[in-house]
Amino acid sequence: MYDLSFIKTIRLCTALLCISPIASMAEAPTPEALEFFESKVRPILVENCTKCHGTDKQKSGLRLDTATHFAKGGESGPVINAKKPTASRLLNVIEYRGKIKMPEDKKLPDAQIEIIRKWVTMGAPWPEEAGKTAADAAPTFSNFISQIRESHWSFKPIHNAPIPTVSTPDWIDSPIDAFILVGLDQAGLKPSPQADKRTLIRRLNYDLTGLPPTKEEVEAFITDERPEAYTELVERLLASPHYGERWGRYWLDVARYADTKGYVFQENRFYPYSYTYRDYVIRSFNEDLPYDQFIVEQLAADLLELGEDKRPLAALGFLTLGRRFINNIHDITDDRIDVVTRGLLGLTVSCARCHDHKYDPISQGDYYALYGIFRSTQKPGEFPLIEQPETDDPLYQEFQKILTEKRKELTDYEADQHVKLLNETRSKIRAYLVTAEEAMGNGDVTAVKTLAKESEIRYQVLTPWVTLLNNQLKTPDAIFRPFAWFKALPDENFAEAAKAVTSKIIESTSGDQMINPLVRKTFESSPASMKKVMERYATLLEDTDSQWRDQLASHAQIIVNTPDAPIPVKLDNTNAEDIRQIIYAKNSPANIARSRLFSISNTSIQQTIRAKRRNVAKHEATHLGRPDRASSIIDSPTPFNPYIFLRGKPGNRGENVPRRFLEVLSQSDPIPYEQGSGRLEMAKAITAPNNPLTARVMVNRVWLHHFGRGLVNTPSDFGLQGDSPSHPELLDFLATYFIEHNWSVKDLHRVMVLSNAYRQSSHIHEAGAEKDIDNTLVWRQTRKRLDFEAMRDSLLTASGEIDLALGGPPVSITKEPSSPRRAVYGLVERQNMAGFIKNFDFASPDTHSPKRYKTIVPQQALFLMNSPFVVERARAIGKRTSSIESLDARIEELFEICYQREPSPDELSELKAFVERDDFMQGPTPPPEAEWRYGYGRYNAETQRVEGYTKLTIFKEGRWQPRDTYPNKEIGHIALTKDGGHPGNTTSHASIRRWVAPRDGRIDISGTFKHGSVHGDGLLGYIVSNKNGLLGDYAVKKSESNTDLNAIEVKQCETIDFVASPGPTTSHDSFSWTMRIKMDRPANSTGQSLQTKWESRKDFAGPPPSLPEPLSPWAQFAQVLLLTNEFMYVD
Amino acid sequence: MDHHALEPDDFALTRRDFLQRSGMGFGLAGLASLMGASPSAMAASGSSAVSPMIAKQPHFPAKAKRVIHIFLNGGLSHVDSFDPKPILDKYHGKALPNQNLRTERPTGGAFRSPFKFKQYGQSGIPVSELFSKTAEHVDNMCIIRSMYADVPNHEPSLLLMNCGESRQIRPSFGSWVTYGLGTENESLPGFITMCPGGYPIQESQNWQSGFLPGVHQGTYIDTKKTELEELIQFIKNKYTANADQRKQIDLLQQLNHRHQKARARDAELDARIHSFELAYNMQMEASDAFDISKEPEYIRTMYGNTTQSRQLLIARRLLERGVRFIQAWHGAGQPWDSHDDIEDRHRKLAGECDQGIAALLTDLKQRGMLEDTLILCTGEFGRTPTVELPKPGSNAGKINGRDHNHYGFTSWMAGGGVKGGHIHGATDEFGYQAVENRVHVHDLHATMLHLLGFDHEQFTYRYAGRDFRLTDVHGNIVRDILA
Repeated sequence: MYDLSFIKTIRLCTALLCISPIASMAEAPTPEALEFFESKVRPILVENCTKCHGTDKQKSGLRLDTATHFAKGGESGPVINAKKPTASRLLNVIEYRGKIKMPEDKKLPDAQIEIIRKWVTMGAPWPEEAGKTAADAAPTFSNFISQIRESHWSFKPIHNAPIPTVSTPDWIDSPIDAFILVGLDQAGLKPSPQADKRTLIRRLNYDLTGLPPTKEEVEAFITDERPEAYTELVERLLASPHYGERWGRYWLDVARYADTKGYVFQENRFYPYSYTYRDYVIRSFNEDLPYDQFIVEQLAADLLELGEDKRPLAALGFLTLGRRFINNIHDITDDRIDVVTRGLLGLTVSCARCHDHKYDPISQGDYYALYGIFRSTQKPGEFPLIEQPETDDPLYQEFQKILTEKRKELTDYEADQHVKLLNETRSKIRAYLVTAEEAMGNGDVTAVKTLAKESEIRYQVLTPWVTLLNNQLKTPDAIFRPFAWFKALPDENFAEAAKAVTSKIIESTSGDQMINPLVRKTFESSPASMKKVMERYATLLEDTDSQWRDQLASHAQIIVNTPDAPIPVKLDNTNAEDIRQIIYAKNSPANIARSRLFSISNTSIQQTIRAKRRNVAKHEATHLGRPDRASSIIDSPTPFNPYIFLRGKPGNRGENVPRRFLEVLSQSDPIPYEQGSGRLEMAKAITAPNNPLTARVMVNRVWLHHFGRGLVNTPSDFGLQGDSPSHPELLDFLATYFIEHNWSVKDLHRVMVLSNAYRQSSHIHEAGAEKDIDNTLVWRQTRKRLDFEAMRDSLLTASGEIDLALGGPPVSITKEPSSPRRAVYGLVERQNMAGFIKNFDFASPDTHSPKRYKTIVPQQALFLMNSPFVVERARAIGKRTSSIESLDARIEELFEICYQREPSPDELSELKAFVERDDFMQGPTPPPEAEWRYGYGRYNAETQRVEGYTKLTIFKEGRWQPRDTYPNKEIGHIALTKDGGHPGNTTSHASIRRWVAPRDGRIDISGTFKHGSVHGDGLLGYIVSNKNGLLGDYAVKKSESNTDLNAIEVKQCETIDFVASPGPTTSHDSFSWTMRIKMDRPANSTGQSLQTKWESRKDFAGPPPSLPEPLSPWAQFAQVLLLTNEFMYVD
Repeated sequence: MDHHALEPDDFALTRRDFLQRSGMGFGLAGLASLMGASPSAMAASGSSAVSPMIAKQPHFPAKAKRVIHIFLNGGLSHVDSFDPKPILDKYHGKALPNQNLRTERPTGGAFRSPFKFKQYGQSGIPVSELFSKTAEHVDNMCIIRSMYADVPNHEPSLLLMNCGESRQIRPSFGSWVTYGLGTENESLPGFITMCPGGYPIQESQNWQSGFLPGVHQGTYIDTKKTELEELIQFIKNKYTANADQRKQIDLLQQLNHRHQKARARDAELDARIHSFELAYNMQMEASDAFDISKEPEYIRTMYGNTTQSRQLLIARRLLERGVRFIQAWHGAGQPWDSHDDIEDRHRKLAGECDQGIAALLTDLKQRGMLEDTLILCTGEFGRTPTVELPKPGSNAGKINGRDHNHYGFTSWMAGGGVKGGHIHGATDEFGYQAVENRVHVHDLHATMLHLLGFDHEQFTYRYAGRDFRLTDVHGNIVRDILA
């Protein structure tokens, strides 16, 4: 392995040694000095420093284990100051003088610090290691790059190898077969026989469209014995619009596509036009857009001459639809570098964000060259339309109308707040001037902030005032000249010294020392302090401002009669106008730009603005009448000139690099990009036919999806750590073929699926399993499990519900009723993706996905067994076949729907046994009814029993009631709530809260019955058992009564009724009656979990959720078919 | 031997392939232990395919087999709980001698703790009244008073604490652990994260699987809900009686076996057949695990009756059943973020969880599980010893709370191989920043991985061209706290 850390260090050393003063000192240290170093200093370094600054780790780029490394220093340069040794960083750090304190966990003992100090003042002598001089250093990183460019397979030019001769020429249907057969010949393996036709059509359908064939299509294909039947099938599928949906989705994995931004805190989380990118991708595959053009559009469509058709602009979603990282520009840029380099080139360039790549020939300069390209772009003011909206579409009109309203809400609010802010600032001009003068020369930000806070003014507005005053000190003008003069006076005896200045002011009526007459007037008398000076200015400004406001006010009066009267633009008096300009000029600190409103405002205003922005964004992202726009980017007016961020830290500036392409992919020194950001130049470099990576990477991706394994098994890493190609010549043959066929992806499919290699059976035979279990040599086809999308689409196809419409905004596929659209149109939620989608190994949209994981976990089975989605599909299949009466025929139909084949006789009998069972249950047992019931009836005092108990059936607004309307004319206000309720109009309509004993036992009841109104004649309450009659009776009228009862024996199912009956009249009969029931635990119940407490208030609830309709036997049967391996795997 | 971390394909290979091909970045030791991976589990399943969740052995014998992280999200004030600073009484209302460190918001003078501290246990470690019940276990607790993180903001600090990186997409601690160790009970998710009432700040990124397979992502459970099917998605079938479902599964397996007969040697088909049996069992297992009414009354009384204590009791039942990693968040959002009214708020919050935490420790001890269960209790950072000053809009401006503080805070651990009755490190005399034996979050992670049997520098996953680890390029094991 190439030891890069070493190379890197040496390379830097070569440069630094020439200038390092230490190096020259170290040339001839005295033996005593060296002895001192070895005996005293080195042990301290070894003991305390080299763990983090040695061979294993080089924190901050610093090594303290060899002379050369030490001389070089860390990222911020040498740690020794040769000119002034005592000011060396090394000493600063170990003496804990600055921010950085070393060693981190504990300061060195004073004696050791003293030793280091002494050594540093000696010039830090350090013996040079033998043989380790900079001169014979290993090659530079740049040399490493050119060496790897020559030696590593993926950087070498694509080599169009001749098609090899093989053992069985009969087997060769496509050049691919020859390359595969050579490998098999060498390994002594034979290719597998061709799969049967039913398997082939199913395989082709899924591979090319992600959908199963219909029963009729299968039959037609099987019976068509013409040799061209297969080719025609391939052509039909490639021409299907569903082809683009399948292959577009593979590309969306590469493009780490999602419809949301990730964690955003308070922003709207949806990308408004993400779907136009998705649809662009699908369309591009369907139209077989040449792959090179596809790339160029995705990187730089905005820089192309597009003509009429603006749809390619949507391609830029490739760059823009990544995670937003709470809008951190560096992380967004890193994500873009990653998606471009791994996605298109198979290179892990983002590894070089903090340092040169540890393995691959990618320097940190390469990274920042690309960084500069992406940093030189920005979001356009408004996303461009990609199709002209149909302006007479009412939906579009509605969208526009609401949009205008919502935008106006935002701008009106901002305008209003802006005016308020300006008024506030001008009204506080005194505080600003006085405080600004105080803050001058105070470099302590916190202190100035405190000053601002104390004066109740805004720090962000104060600082420009301070700047203005500071500038006036240097080059005073006719207004601030007196200020500058006064400010020059010492604080002591200010008043005395000011007198002379005052006289000078009064005399300065002309020449280059001229002072504005109004200002002169202000200083006719001498001020006693600087504060007074500022206050006089403030008064002058306030007076001027009020003159101006008067003028505006009188204008408002004038236009009542003279509408044409011109709006005043200035004060007539020029001197006054000059002063007015101090607070009204465009660049005045008091004239805060509207764009600064947000940052200056307090949090509550910011919250309101954010909320209004969110409203606009949400409307744009969700209204169905919105016209399609592209999530595009444009070049910034001034490109960003990149430099290296040392250790990836933005504040840690390293050397400049131009915007340019990767060095390893450039023939000589890469040429700096000149056209704007350089995106188009980069796109062209990526798609240049002599770029050895682009075609190879794409060809490998297509191969991966057809054969289940890439020729290079690390599809997004073609670097030194990636896998080597299993068939390098085949890879190059395909890459050449691809480029020569005008980068046509459909031609690639053709050459692959028409091969014999592709058409092999997926059966694992013993010889193959023995010699090549991974199937690297392609001695069989791979059996593939349906991925999430194909699975979902197949379930919907089987149920006959699938909606095959194309394109458009994303739909919800996570909740029932789920959209019947294809899964590719489902909303991809980047942040909180539904667990079941993740469980099925859907591509993580957080980073580019080279290939899908293939996990098998019980959570997948749970989804298939229990989710409403699958259950409803099974139900639909059951219904779909319900008209078929014969058992056999119905089973056969189900088989054909799910598997496109007939069942075998054995299968038929097994399945019949399942449907012919007579022990089907009608769904799961419903949960037992709760102990509390709600009803009404009458208490019969003679029988001591409740009569005519009727359930209250309607639950509304937290209230059980008898009818939909409340109150009800016939029976009045009868109701039960969690606290109490109201009886009806007669004693036959007493409200009854019933408790049913769940088991035999003894209960204690505690409760309070209360009539709270000051009107009416009160109520009567009874506690009645259906077994033992009246247990307690109570009368309340503007009063309350305790209704406790103890030690009551109850039998299972016995009812205890709490009857609230009206008195003679029924008005004002609202009552409250809450009760608790405590039941003892039966003696023999150890270990059982039994409820022992009931509280009428806490347990109060509406009706239990209604149970879904149970699955019929046939639907259960259909569900089983959907769960099988046969349904879920493609042979 | 090439590097070879797990590749997507590996998850579907036969055991033999798997052993032939992968070192999992563990190096040879890891490979050897993989070969010994729980053979009984494989035999029982009758399957030769490797499930990503199968129990695996770490690099070296582990002290801890499972983890529970009690997350006091929002930031527990250390000077009010485990790190007493009596000197704040003296300075109360006055400026500290050194300038205040820069935190998220402006802070003013010193702010004494409104809570009383008392010494507990043999070790005599002082703990405030906030955690008086938990403190009864202080002799089992290792209190790290010298924690520090990178920035004083919730989002990055949460991600740092959970994923070892504050901005970019990285797998969370729990997903690393299930990736490395699998789970001891495949009928339950291996990594469960509980948070009552909704998500914490930064949402599901806190338990993301990042670039590891999606199955390693934490299974989120809203413990405010009580219905099982609301807790774990699709755990119950509402349409088909259980007995019927069993017959469905039987028929399914019949069809599957017939299908498989013609497709010999495909371990993946086998694995999928097995997964339905696991799922079927999971329905019962999960119902049972989450049903705390099955606990005897004295246990439920011991835990108390708050959402947090109920959640800790569920956690104990899950740990007992072999769940590998559990996070118990205090609540949605950032409940411990007491910028105002710290006295009332911290008292209320501690009141909600103190009894439950104490009960959990008692309970685990009684069951002999404390030895090999690692308990971590921490927020994402601590709070300032100085009072927070009003800032328009950002707090109520009551001048009786504390700001975030990442310079120094306290985390405590118990069980699984950590020293009990031990205090590690110290903050300065005011509690502003860690000064003695400082422990960065990366160091905490390195130490926890060590306790779980992993060398944090060797425990890697190859992705995008390089080997990633939980501790990135950082982390030192804090040996002083190992028992």
